[in-house]
Amino acid sequence: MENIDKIFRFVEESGFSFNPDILEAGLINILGLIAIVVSVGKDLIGSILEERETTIGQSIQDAENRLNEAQKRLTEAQKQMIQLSVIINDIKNDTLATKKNMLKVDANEAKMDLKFRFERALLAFKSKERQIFFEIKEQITSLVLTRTVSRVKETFAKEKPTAKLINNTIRTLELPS
Amino acid sequence: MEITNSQKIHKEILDLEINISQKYIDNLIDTITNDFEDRKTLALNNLEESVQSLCEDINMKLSI
Repeated sequence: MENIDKIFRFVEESGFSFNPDILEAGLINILGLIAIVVSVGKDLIGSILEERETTIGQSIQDAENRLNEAQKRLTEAQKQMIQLSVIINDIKNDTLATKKNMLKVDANEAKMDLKFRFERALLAFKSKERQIFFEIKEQITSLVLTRTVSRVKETFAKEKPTAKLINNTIRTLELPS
Repeated sequence: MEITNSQKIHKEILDLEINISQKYIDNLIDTITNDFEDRKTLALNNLEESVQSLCEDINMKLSI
């Protein structure tokens, strides 16, 4: 209402009057309308723009604050990441060392097992060698004894009296070789 | 977890290697035993000369 009063006051003060000829008064009307709108809306638009400017400034400030906060958080996160990297590296190194030790223990156990198996195989090999040696030796002894006994039996059967033969043999055995 | 898995895999590999080695040892012993048996048979088949020599020695000692 106050604005409408202002408009009419402005029209009266400026010496404007209503022109009913539309074609003649079109441009003037439009210009007048613009002038009226600018004059009347100046405060309103000004206040809106000020408010808008304040809002935008506030938003920019908020955005800057948020940016700063985000940068702080980023810095903290980077620090934490570095610390975590150090911790992870430590854990990795410890894990690697533990793994190496455990693998070494397993490898040593396997070596001992293998050594034991080779020793057992060697013993089996030596035992077999000894067994075969004794078998051959026994076979030789058996053959020699069999032949000798046979020969002795033949000799004893041929020569009589046997006492003479036995005495001769004992004498021969007593002589130094 | 990683260590356990790694140890398990390593142990399996070692067991595999030991089994392979055991098979190699078994084959080696079989080969050596067969070789021994062959040599024993050969030696037993060629004892005549040694037996004869020993018999002659004994006979000479006994003068028969």
